[in-house]
Parts: sequence; structure tokens; C-alpha cells
Amino acid sequence: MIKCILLLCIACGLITGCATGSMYEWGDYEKDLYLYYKNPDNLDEYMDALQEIVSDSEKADKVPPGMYAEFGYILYEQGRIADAKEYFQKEKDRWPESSVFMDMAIGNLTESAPERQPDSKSVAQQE
Amino acid sequence: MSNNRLFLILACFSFVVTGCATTEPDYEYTAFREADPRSVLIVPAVNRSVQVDAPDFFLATITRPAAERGYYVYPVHMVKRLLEDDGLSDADMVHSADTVRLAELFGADSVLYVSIEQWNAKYMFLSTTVTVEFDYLLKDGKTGEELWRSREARVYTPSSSSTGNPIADLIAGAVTAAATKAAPNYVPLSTQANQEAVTEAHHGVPAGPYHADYKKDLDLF
Repeated sequence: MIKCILLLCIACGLITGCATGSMYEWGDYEKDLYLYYKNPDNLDEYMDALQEIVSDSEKADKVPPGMYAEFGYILYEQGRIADAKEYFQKEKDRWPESSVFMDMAIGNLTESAPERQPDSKSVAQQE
Repeated sequence: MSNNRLFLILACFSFVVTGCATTEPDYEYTAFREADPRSVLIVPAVNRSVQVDAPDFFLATITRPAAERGYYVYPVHMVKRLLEDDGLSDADMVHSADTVRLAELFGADSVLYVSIEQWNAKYMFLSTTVTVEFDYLLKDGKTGEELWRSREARVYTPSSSSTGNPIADLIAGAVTAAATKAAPNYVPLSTQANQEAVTEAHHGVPAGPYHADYKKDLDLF
């Protein structure tokens, strides 16, 4: 019984990141992304989920690598170009390793609007 | 029932590791230490298992372990979508593409390729056993050479803590097995598999530049 609980606690710690020494705050990122892959129609839901992760982790100054960019990308898919650019820039400012990629992403933003509209077309182009 | 509610119910049945088979010798880290990568581009996984959505589970759960290990990890979903837009619409095509060119495109020090070799769930009346095997290969973004490799099968069973009442335990076990068969919650399991692969002494990845143990773990890696 005790061993089972102990194993559960360890597993919980590993899974939720509540173990000591977690550098970043992730919220329910894994669940949110997986659910989005299962339901590609739910772009709004995924966007809201990322918004929450970004807001919460920003308060603690523990935004994980790539999180600003993931959020920026979904904003781009929603047609929110100015907002997308803001978050790509935040990613670049926070993570020097991202600068080549973010420069490319920002550069592409100014060239064209998103190729796909949310919902119908993007679902059709998903598998 | 909404997906979220279903997911919450399933989340109660978490998976706990019962054992993992490490038959490989310690990895040799010379090339890794010389390359000293700061960033990792993680591309979609090739699926050689029978679990159709294994790649989705994998991609959703690899970022946290790699980032917490101290590396900059490129946004996996954005990367996946851009590769698709570039004509690399499935993982096999991505894995066949030139590593150096891929790394250059994103400005990455290294590229992580994973293939899901095994993902088998065995449903027995009172429990479910899941065996997962991921093959990890990290390549140098500048040279395409191997920096790290790991391939281990790990076995998981869902936890069902004993209530002390044998009949209740029997029922709880059957419910767990039925629930996991109906719509298995593999997110915690996949996270745990990635976490273990990345952190295991002598087999995982050395601490990265953002980690407190960066270059202090030479005895373990």
C-alpha cells in the first residue's frame, strides 16, 4: 500500500513537474496539445490553452522554451498577424537560440497572410 | 461526454513504471561533449508500432523532458507544421532529409529523431500492461554525426492502490482495465518514458546549458 502510494507520488512528480527543480511552468501543455491533435477543429480551444500557459508562466518568469512561439504560430493561423509577430519577437528576445527561426517566421509574416483559413480548410488539409 | 471530462476521468488511472530493461552498455559521450549543443530540433516521430496515435503522444510529451534537461527546444507543433508546408508531410520524409540542411533552416545545434518501435498494450482482466520502445537518435546540426543514441523498452502498468477489501480491489482493477482499453490515457506514460530516457545515468543526455548541473555531471554522462 505504502509502496504503491510512493510510486504514485513519484510518478505524479515526474508527470506534473511538481518535483523539485522544475525550471519552467507548463500547465497542462501535454494534454492540451494531444487533445488538439485528436480534435484539429478545436483551434480556439488550443489557443486559449496556450494563452493561459503563457500568462501563468510569465507571472512566474518561467516561460518554457518554444511556448511564446507555439502561441504566436496559433495566433498566425487565426489570422492575428500583429499578435503573432509580438510573440515571435518575445521568443527571439528570450531565447537567442531561436533567432534564426524567429527571424524567418517574422519575415514570412510580413510577406503574406495565412494560406489556410481556420476550421474548414485546415481540417481538410489535416490527415 | 466532452473530451476534457473523459480525459479527467482517465487521468485518475495513471501509469506507474514496474520495470525497464536496460541491456545496453553505457553510452560514450565524447562526441556529445565536443559538440556541446545548446539547442535541439525535435522532428515528428516515425511510427513502427501498432498504436496509430503514438506519434501524437510522443510529440506532445517530449518537449518538457528535453527543456527541463536544460536545452532550448524548438516549438514542436510549429516545426511540424512548417515541415509539412515545405512538402515534408510525413515523418519518414523528414527523417530522410539532410540533417545539416534541416538544422541550418532552424538554426539548430542538433536534431532529435525518434522512431516508435513498440507500443503494445496487453489487456488482461485485472490490469493492462503497456510496453513502449522509443529509439532516440540525436545528430549534430553542423556535421550530421551521431551525438547520442538510446533505445530501451519500458513496461508500465496502471496503478490501482489496494483498499484492503479484496472484492473492491478486484472491481477497481477490472474498471481500470476496461477504462484503459476503452480510451487509454497515454500522456502520463509517454511523458514518463521520455523523461526516463533523457535523464537516465550513463544512458540519457548530459545536463544542458540552462541546467544547474551543466558540465558538472561528467561522472554520470
